[in-house]
Amino acid sequence: MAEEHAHHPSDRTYLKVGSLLFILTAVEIALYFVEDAFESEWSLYLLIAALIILSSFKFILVVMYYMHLKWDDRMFSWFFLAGMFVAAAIILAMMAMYRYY
Amino acid sequence: MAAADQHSGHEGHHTTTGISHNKLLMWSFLASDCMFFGSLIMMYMVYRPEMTDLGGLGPNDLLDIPFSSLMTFVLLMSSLAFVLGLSSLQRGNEAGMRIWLTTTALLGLLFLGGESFEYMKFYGEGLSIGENIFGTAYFVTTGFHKIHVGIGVIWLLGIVAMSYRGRVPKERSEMVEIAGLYWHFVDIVWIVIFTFIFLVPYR
Repeated sequence: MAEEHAHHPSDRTYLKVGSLLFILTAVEIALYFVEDAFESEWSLYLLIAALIILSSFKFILVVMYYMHLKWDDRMFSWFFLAGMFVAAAIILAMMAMYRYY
Repeated sequence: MAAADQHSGHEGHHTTTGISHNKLLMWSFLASDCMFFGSLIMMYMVYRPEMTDLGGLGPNDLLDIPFSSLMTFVLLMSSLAFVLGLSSLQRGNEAGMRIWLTTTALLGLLFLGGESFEYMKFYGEGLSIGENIFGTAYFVTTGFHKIHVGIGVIWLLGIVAMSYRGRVPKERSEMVEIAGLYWHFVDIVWIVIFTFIFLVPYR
């Protein structure tokens, strides 16, 4: 994906990212349908970790390539990351509250 | 730098920060929307252990993974169609942009139609928003996402209509790019919802 000019990727890059998103989603769905094979507790955690990693990878692909954060000013990335950080903090804090109280 | 800006259809940003404040505003909104959807998804995950035995009206009984997977592909392809439209406009091809953005809006409408069909199916089975904890968490979380998709579709069709009147030339491609930020955000929210509500097993 080195053919990009100063600001935006080429159509070929967009198509490559689209294909990758398609494949990653197909892998996620395939994992769901073999869920019963993950019987033990540790293998279930492995499955959940795999699903979260695949989902995160798709998230990053869309944000970096389709939303152009890979090329745009770093200020935009910091704004978005700040929101994500606060969102993660809220989620963790509330999950802890519900878990223990 | 100026040549690059001209090539990508960007206007010069004579602002205090040197970057587009319109884009900064959209990114700020998306950051706040992260917190909004994060809280909704968190609510679903917290209550998910209580949804295992709901008399045939729980997620294990009702969620249709193959159908939702198809809807996920539809939304992912709509994002691809959008970037191809933006790319067309940045090359000065306004007609191409209109075709791709109309395709994006149609895929968005297909997603909304499919999800509405699923809502009606659930309702037919006896699940309403006040029926049980799953009904509340599911309809509220996915419902807000559908509202976002609906706003996105209206926005895209508005841009297409403006383009027919010659008001979206290559030099104003940033307004399309900002609409794209919103549309792709709706896509990534669904990526997270699809994983945590539909795919992750809870035993």
